[in-house]
Amino acid sequence: MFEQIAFYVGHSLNDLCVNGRRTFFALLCIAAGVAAIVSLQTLATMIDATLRGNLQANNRGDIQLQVVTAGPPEPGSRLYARMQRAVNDGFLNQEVANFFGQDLFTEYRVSARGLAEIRRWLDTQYPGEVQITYRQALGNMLSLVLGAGNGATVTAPATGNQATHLTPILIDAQVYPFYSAVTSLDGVPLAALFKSPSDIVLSENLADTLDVKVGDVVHVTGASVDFTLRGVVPVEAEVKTIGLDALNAIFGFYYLDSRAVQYFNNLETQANVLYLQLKDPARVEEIDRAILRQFPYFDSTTTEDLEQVYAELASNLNQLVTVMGLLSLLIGSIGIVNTMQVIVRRRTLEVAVLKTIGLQARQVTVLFLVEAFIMGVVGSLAGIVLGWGTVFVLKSAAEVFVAQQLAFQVAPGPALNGLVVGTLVTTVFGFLPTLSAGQVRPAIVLRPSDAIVPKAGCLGTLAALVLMMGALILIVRGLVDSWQTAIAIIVGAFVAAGVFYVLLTILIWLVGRFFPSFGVVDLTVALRQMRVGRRRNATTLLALVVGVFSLSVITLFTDTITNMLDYALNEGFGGNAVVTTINPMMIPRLEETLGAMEGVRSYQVTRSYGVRLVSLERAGTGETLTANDVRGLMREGIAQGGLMYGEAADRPRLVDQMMRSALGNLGGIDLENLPRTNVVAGRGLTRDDAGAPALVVTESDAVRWIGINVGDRLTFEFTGGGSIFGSSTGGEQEGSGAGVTITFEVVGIAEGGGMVNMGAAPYKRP
Amino acid sequence: MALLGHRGSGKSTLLGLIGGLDAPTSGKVYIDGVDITHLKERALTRIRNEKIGFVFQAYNLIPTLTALENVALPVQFARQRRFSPSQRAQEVLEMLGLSDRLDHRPAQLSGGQQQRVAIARALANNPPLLLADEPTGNLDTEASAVVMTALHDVRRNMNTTVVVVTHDMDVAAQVDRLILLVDGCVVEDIDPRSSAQLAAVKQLKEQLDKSKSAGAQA
Repeated sequence: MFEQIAFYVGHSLNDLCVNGRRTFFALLCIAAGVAAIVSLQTLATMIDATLRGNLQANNRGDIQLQVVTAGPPEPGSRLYARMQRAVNDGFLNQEVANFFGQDLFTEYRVSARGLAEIRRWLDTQYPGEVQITYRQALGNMLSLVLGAGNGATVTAPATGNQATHLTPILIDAQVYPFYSAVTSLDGVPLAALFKSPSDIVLSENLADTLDVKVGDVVHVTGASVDFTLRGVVPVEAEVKTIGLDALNAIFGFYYLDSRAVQYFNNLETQANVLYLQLKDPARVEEIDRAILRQFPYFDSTTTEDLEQVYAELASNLNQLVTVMGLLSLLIGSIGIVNTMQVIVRRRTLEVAVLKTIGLQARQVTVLFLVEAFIMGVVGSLAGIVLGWGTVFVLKSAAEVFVAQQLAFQVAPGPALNGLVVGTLVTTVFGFLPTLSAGQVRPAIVLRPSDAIVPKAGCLGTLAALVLMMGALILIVRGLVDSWQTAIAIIVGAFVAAGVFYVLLTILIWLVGRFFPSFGVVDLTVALRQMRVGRRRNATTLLALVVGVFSLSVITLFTDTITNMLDYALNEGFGGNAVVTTINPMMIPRLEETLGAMEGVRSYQVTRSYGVRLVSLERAGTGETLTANDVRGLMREGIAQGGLMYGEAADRPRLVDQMMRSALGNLGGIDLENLPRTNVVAGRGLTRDDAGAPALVVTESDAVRWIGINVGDRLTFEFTGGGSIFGSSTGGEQEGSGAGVTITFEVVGIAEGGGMVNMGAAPYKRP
Repeated sequence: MALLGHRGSGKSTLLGLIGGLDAPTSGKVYIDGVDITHLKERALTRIRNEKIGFVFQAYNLIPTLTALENVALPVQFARQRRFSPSQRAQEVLEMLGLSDRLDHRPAQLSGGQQQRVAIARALANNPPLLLADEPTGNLDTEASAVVMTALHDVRRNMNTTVVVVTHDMDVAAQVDRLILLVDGCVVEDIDPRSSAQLAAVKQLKEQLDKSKSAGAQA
């Protein structure tokens, strides 16, 4: 028995070595499929492990608390009243940013007193259970983007270099962050870097901009002392959230000790974000609920919230892996069947000789199965190595996707999975051809002929197909959730393959029978041979068709995902990342930075202008509505809007808000780099619109209520000084100054949901 | 014994029937007293393994195996093993003068050596019957002589019946019994060792040569 196994293995290995080129292609076929499975699963495992393993680090604590930041709550609501009381009690600091006389936004922060109150409450409710630290910004958002407030600019006297639009982060370096210590590029933790309140730590990109080194002195705007640079940390230290923290990544940030507050005028200790560390992380949800009950004006993010987000991400990744794995499997399987068929066909005489000297049919089948098995093992092992190599290539893309550095890990799970699936698929799909090998008649050894093709017989083929289907269903069941789906996929695939096979056989026969040979003998013979060997040719063609089809599907799938992401991002934001600035003077510097930044493929600048509707002229009727008429239509629309708007239908404030939201801002779009827009009526903007008063409005309830249609003419007055953004661009572009009135023609209505879809052409010079 | 005849006369078909490679449409085939005519493939395979050895014109050695491995193969797959595969293979190869070629692959051997390895493989299970299909067909005169000597030695030393299919009169002249086939029928059964019958063989040879040259002219 052992000698027979040794013969099977030795003979198979010998055969694989002797037939080097053919073996190589077969192995490549298997390795490619396994590599796809291993690389994607390893990547998914790495992402999952990194994200879920760093929940506390990513959250900077077990619970993260921020004061509600999405604008002040509705006046009159209970939350609004509570927040005002917190402000009146000195618990919260309220800062209203003014810009040219208009309230721009309201920022709330937890005051020193509030911090003490939270600490006191936590110590009372959960003594010794909760540690708390906080993070403080120096100025408000407005002063930061204007580059004029406390901490907004850092200068290096040694080099004369200056950096603006930075994110200052005041922390208690001895405890911040609670998890996964931030360390400098040379490995020193923050706690060790800060020795005095006048120490500073810069992000790597900021240090590069300033061209400073550890020990140099830098000046921070608004500070009464200069700070000494103690360390440089990687940018990733404060780029933790997917798609956010863009400013940190672009311009940089710096850490100051929370005691540095004393060096800035009119600045007191206050917290923008609170981080809580629990002694028992299992109580996170309980404590979070209690905190939110006590302090309802906080938004909280717990590790469990993050885990849910990451679980969803991991689930999406797994679905991607499943689809890619199945397709790879399909390609590999058909390739293996074809390769094994060729092997068996070429070795028909050898099989006959083996049967002549005493090998049974099943022994011949086992011999070829062992060869397929060895090929599967070797190909899978190669695929695993190839897959790990591929992970290195895909790792950087995945890191961008999850905004985390992924630690490369040789995960045994995906490798084992790849080995088992690769070997099983190769052996199972190699079974049908090897079955036919067992049926070779030994008599052909006396009259060898290439024309003799071994056949497995109907029953054998049927049994082999059932076995293959069963094995594949088992494999697919491991990838999808239900048996029904697995059975449906495999049966569907086999039925489709069968139909294709029949169609291809008919097609080959038709071509072989009716294609004109023009009297060329070679062509006549070729056509006849094609017709005679139509079944074999159909199998080969089927392998080719499935291979090409699968590759096309993978390419299409990958391309579709890219396009979908691209489309979604373009629709929603106009790009992969959005940098919002209130100060138009930042735009040239932003453009300069983005232009030089590695990895930025393209960018576009969208300008926003504050406007007030003057009139609406309907194209259909010629009727002209004033702003008041339009407001009336809005009110009616809100009244009919059901529960969502009903109660507030008569509130002028809500009507005004919706008017402003729908028709209070115009986006000036870069016509040279237009975002993709789904237009539901009319057309989108084109380059030809440069200089013309063309307008695309975004689909919304307000637009429907007012009844804006393509061809209507909207007259706006640019609010200039009274606008949020407009006046500072005055003079730079045509018609953007305060008080200017321009009539636009609506050329199209775009799908809602994107700020950049609503655009007015003349606001960007060609 | 030799089966002699033109191409298409039925020599190989008869050999296939005797060897259990083909089934006759009528009549019966007995091997060692056993009717193999209607045996299943499984039983036939066993008979081939234990009672019959095959030698082919094109040697048909397994190219990826060494001489020793090729010869050991039938022993390894014997249902009732009577020998140790390697030991038996070495023994038979040495008997055929190939002791210095044990670890050579077929591609590293000459035609004559390959054919002797094939004979060794056929004899590995010590079968009572050895069927050789044109064993010297691909060999030059010197190698043919060596192979025929080997077959004689086998018959003599191992008491094995050797049936040789050939159309070579020089080979046919060396056998104990010569059967001439024409169109699937036995037309002559001669003992070439008797002087009278040797004359008949010579006459046959002339006839064959004449018909060959006539065919060539046509």
